[in-house]
Amino acid sequence: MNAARLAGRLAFALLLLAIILFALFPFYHALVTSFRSGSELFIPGLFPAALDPRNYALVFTQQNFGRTVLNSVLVAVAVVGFSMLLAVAAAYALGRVRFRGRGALMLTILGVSMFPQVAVLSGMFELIRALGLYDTLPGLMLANLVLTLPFTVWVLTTFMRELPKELEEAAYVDGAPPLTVVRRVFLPLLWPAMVPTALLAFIVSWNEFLFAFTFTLSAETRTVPVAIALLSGGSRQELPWGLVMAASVIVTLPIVALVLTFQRKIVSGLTAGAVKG
Amino acid sequence: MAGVSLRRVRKSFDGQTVIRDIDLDIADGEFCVFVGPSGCGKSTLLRLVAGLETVSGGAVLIGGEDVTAAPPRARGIAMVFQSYALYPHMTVRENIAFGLETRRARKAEIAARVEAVAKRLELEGLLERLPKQLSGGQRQRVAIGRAIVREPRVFLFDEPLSNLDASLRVQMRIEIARLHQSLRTTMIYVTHDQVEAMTLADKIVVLNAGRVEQAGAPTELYRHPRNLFVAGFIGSRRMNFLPVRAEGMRDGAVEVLLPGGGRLAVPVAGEGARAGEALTLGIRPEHLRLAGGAPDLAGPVEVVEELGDEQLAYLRLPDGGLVTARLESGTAPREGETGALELPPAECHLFRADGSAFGRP
Repeated sequence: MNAARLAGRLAFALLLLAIILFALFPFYHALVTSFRSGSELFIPGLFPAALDPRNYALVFTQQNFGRTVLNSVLVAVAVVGFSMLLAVAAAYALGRVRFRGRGALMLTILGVSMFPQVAVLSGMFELIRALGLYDTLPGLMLANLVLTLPFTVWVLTTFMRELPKELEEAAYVDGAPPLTVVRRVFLPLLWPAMVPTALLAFIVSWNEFLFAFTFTLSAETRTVPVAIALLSGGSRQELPWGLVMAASVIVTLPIVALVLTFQRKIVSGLTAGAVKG
Repeated sequence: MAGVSLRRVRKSFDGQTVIRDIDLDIADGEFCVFVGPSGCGKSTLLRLVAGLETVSGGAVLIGGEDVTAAPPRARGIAMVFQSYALYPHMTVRENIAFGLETRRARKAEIAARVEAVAKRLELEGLLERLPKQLSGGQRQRVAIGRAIVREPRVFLFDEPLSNLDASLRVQMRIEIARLHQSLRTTMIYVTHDQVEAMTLADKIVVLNAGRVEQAGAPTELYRHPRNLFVAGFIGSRRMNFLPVRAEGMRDGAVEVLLPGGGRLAVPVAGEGARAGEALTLGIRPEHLRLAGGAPDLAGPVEVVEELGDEQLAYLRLPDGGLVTARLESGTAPREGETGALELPPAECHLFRADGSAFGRP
């Protein structure tokens, strides 16, 4: 009995360990590789022989990586901002106002997110070019909104529906016009849902590759994922693994920092509404 | 301050009519209670007055002004919700101030009025708390505070006490009555509890299936219910209904044959009553007495409920019906014994087969 329990716990611990290894090893490997350079890169080993920060310096000096990171930040922040603004407004309409075709509209929004990115790529390209946004950051922002809006709208609408109707009615009776109700009553109550949703939108935009690769051309408008893919080494035959890994580690850090900062909010946001109170 | 009038107000949801052509006048300063069973449309009617629902037909007037198409904020009303609906992220002070801020009152004025309301409702020590840190009764008082701070023309209460426990409910009921005495503002109050209706109202409106069954002062509804529904609904103990047969008319009274064979002359305006017609006799438990001489009703006592100051005796009648009598403590017969009751004719009500009442003097 006791032995069986011990074995069970041991097995569970092993399983956890395996999951952790599986999740974290790639990042660990990237971290280790980023501190190696030259022929050392091709010696298999779990630990670096020496911590050589040369790759990190090179990424910034050689590749104009600062500009690239700035582009990514600009695009991601704008996408998050617009997504939240539009999603809150849409969630109010979809979650609160009764109108004909609401269900169909919700399904359409969900449907949009089901298209693979490649399917909308060419159409989106035409659109971006027609608007004169090719090879510009606003063009990329617009394209990324297509990826983030469906789930931000959907999540916030679900959450908005859970808010008691009386709160809204009380505010109307208190004399508040609809915009004030959204701003002063709904927005503060939606915070726990908005933080994780915004974070997910940020991650989607931050990691987005296909649109960024297709809709930009020059190095000035390049975002991080594209820049990493296009990193070139000293010669045509050489793939600069050290640089790639250093760049990857650099762009992962903001996400890790954001997630750790909002960790508590994320957990409460994901479970909010499940239990009253 | 303003009265409220409803003119042939109708409301349907998805083809289902829940309010049917209601005409009603509530005078300025009156305390009007909408009462009825659940689903009778009383809350919907209140929401139509508030402007939270739009009417499907008819007109709503507040202070003589047609507000049928006006949004809630343009109607000069304040409402207290069943769930209180306090803004959970705002402190008590912010909750009360919200309605003033939306009207762009000056900061100093807002502060002064919030303080005054807090003092009146004994909320001074709680102003910086959040709703979740308050008890049910305190939340209720904040909700009332949020309503009175705006000095509306009409107060609307939607079952405000139904979430409170029994003792607190009585206490808040008294507070609301006091509030009405001092403010003298028109109030409309929705409840399913006829005790709240009787104790608070100047005027009770009994609703059933989207129609007004009767509207009037509490004593009038108690003494002169217009039909079976109102008679059964009003009164803290449900009126006894006995199937009787009309035997004939006799100088301002209808003589009826009681279950068990007794005869009784009920003093009602009996126009139209035909001999042999099946009628319903209504008598409240508190008006039944133990018979001194020959009983009007007799039967075995099934249950006696002891309430300390009074006893409720349940008698099984020969026709199988059950009758409840409220008796003075210690006077009721024991369970299993035969109880003998007397019907004071002046306290009896008589109803036609369609439910309508014969007029009583």
